Amino acid sequence: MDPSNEFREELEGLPPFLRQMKGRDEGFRVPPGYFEALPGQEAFRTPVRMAWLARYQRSLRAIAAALALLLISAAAYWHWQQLMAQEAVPALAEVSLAEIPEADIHAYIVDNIGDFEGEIAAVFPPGQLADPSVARESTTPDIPLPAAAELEDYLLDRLEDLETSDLEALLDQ
Amino acid sequence: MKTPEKDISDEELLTLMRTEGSEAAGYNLLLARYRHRLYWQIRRLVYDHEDASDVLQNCLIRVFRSLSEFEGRSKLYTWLCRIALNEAISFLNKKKQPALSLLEEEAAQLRERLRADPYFEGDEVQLLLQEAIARLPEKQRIVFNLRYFEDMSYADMALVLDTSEGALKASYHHAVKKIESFVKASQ
Repeated sequence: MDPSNEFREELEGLPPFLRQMKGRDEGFRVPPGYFEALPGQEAFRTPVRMAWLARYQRSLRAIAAALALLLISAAAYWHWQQLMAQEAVPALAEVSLAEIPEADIHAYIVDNIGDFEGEIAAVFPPGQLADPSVARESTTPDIPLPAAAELEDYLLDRLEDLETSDLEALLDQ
Repeated sequence: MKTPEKDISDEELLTLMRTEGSEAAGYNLLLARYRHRLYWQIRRLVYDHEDASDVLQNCLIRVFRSLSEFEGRSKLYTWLCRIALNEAISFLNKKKQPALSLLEEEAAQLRERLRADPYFEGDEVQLLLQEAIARLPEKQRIVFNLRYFEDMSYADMALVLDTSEGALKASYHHAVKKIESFVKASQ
């Protein structure tokens, strides 16, 4: 059948609504100048070759941004950790000292005084201590001893005052 | 004076595109000749202008990329039409819309959608027709659009859709009956 006859017959067989609408504007519009502004083949051919690359570039950009963000976060975290450590050390020392019993502190000082004096003696030859005040403190003051007769009298006086119970207590120590 | 765009045949246009030095002229002629038809074919399926524009761009990219594979066994427009339809269908699938047959609810919302569309200026009768078409199953909808709006022959349509002419005539007939029923029920 001749195609034009086929179309004519088909059109005549359409329901009235579709026959009326045939050839009428459908109502769809495009922005003014849309078809004229469609890019030419150069614009389509270039993206064809670059499509994968462009898609890849987008991914690369996203990865780079994520890495940069990660690095900045890591640097900020590291810096923050450093600050916290600096602030935390003195506080920790204070807390630790406060928590140490007084008896332990005293024992520590007594133990270390000996070491300290040993170190001083090792570093400085006798009579050449750097700090004269240290030398003054570490030497025995000159105290005049009493005469032997005076000492004997003093001891005899003390023995007369002693009770038997005092002697026992002294021996028990 | 002859205007090359109007007087040149599709075969000559293809030769232009395949000849070194005249590819650009050939491609631009192809674009000038078929961009309108391709756009409207896509627009009738996706409705929205921005979507249609995106699909047309993808369609043209595909055309320019695979033109060397076109062997000339069918008409150039038949081949272009097939690409445009495939692009529109994949676009709708990606948007998670049922390819070409809208669900009842979506079809019912189409009128509101088109009323709000700045690029639709149809009246109530045109809205009614669009909703009736939107309710058709996928294949009937494509067949109806190609036959009713584009006057495409069944022979060409058979090449585009890879279906027999008899099946296409039956599809068109069913589509017309369904549209008629819907319009009668709505009036």
